Amino acid sequence: MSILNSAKVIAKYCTKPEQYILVNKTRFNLGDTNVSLVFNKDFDILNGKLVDDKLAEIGTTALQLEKDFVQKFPGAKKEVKDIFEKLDTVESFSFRPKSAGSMETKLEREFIAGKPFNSFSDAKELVRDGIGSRIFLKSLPELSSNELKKMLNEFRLNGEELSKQDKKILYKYVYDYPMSLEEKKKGFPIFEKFVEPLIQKQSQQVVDEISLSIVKNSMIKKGLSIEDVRAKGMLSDVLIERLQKEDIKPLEFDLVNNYRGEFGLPVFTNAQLQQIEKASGAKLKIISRPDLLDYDKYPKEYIEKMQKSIRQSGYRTAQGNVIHKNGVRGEFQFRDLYTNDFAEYEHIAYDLRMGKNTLGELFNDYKREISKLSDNEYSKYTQYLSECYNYYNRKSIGLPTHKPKLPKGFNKILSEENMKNLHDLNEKRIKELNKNFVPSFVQVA
Amino acid sequence: MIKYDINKIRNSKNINFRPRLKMDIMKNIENMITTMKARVEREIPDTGYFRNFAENFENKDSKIFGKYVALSVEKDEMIDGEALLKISVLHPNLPVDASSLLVAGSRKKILDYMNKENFIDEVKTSILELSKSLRESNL
Repeated sequence: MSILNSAKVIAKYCTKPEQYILVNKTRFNLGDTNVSLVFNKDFDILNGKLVDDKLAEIGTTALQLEKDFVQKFPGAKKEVKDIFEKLDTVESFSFRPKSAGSMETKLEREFIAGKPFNSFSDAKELVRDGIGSRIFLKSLPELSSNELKKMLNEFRLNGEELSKQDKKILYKYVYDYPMSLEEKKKGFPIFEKFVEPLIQKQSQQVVDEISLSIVKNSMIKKGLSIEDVRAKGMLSDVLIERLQKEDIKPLEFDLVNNYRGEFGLPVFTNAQLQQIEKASGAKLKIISRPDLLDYDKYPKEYIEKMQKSIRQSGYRTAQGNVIHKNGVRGEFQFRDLYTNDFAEYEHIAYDLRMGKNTLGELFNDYKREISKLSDNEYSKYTQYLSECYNYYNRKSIGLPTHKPKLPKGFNKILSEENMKNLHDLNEKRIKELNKNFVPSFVQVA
Repeated sequence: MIKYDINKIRNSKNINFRPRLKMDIMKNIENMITTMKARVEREIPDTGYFRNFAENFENKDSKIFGKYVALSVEKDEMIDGEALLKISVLHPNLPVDASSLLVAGSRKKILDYMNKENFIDEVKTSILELSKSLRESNL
């Protein structure tokens, strides 16, 4: 008889303070990972929610997956450190296995969207990244006015000197002076080229290590020789020399996201992405924004129409999906600490707007103000958040910058400073709650 | 003046209206590749700067999660006279695309690669994989 038909006890399992998931306690205690769940919209949804019976099976699998990821966590962590810790452009790391709560949410969403899972490994595949690793890049020192002048004087675009008008716009970009939207649009590709050496200074070591590890993996898995790597143009001569001399750790990358907002600089430049693509070959997929390219890949008018639908807050990170040596899927995020701190609370506005209400009472005033904003006001507000991203990003690569001010007419509660304050208070509160917390079953339904 | 009642004509047993056939995606891919080959030949110089370029078609095939498919050539930013040939699929609703590299090298290397017998199939496989990545990206 299937375990699903035996005496089933549905219980609440507290995964974090103030957060719980439903679990089939019988299956969980038996350590049975076998599960086959098929979605039937006529029976499985009640009052707009998934029925407890199915939710408990999803919760049980999420909890079992968490256990599996926690077991594999130390190995994955060591692997990341072995590759990146030696670099002097890396500041620090943070690691965490995916929590049962977040996996339950993801599996439930996929289940309702018509992706039932017929086994533990199906569920694992749906969750994808089990371990998250953040690799924080060191910020560059602030550029002196002489250094900036030298950079401006020596800058050439595709080998040519800029026109007087373009020089003027670039100057405004570099010193963060106010500009019209037209100037901003015209000058951004020039500015992006101008700052490329700074971005490369910040992230080139990391990009080189990624490229080397990808190639090393291909050599092991596909039996490629150094001669093959050279003939295929997978690495530069300098990196091939390192590949021959050093003990490079292999790593399997299959997806890279290079997120950035409008007028926002990327973590990896186009040249760096090309380097990773050449190291990987066709297997690697890159997710990026075609509207920020310097040529039209798709019909321009169509892309312009679509721009309105993207999240406008300027979220900025480079992400990579990897498969660790122990088989667990992981996600790497590369960013500087300034951007990371802001990203920790920037998403609050977006989450509230999208109806996700997982924040505590501390945020009630902020929630109220966000819900009062009209679509136009909200768009103006996200523009402000996007400028905050650019401000922190400029700081991290040593460019002069001015902190954006909350636009007139908005309640001060919505300011970036207040968001940070609320976030810090909430973190403190969670830390306090976590002090004596142990995940456990709390109540039998 | 003769007036036609379209409904009467439609209901007539003698006239069969065939639904318009969707253009075969393989035909679209073939056309895109043909145009791209000509542009690669014409637009990638032996040395020096050139503008990146692309060819695309609108996807009507429901098996592919994407609004447009594009083949693009980007100048290799590290090696003069070389380029990257990439295949991309645009998200159906967002200005976000998934792309992957087909080949990198000189104009000759790229053209030789495009003239391979199984190149069309390789492009089709890549399109399906990119479509899968976009669908799974949960954007």
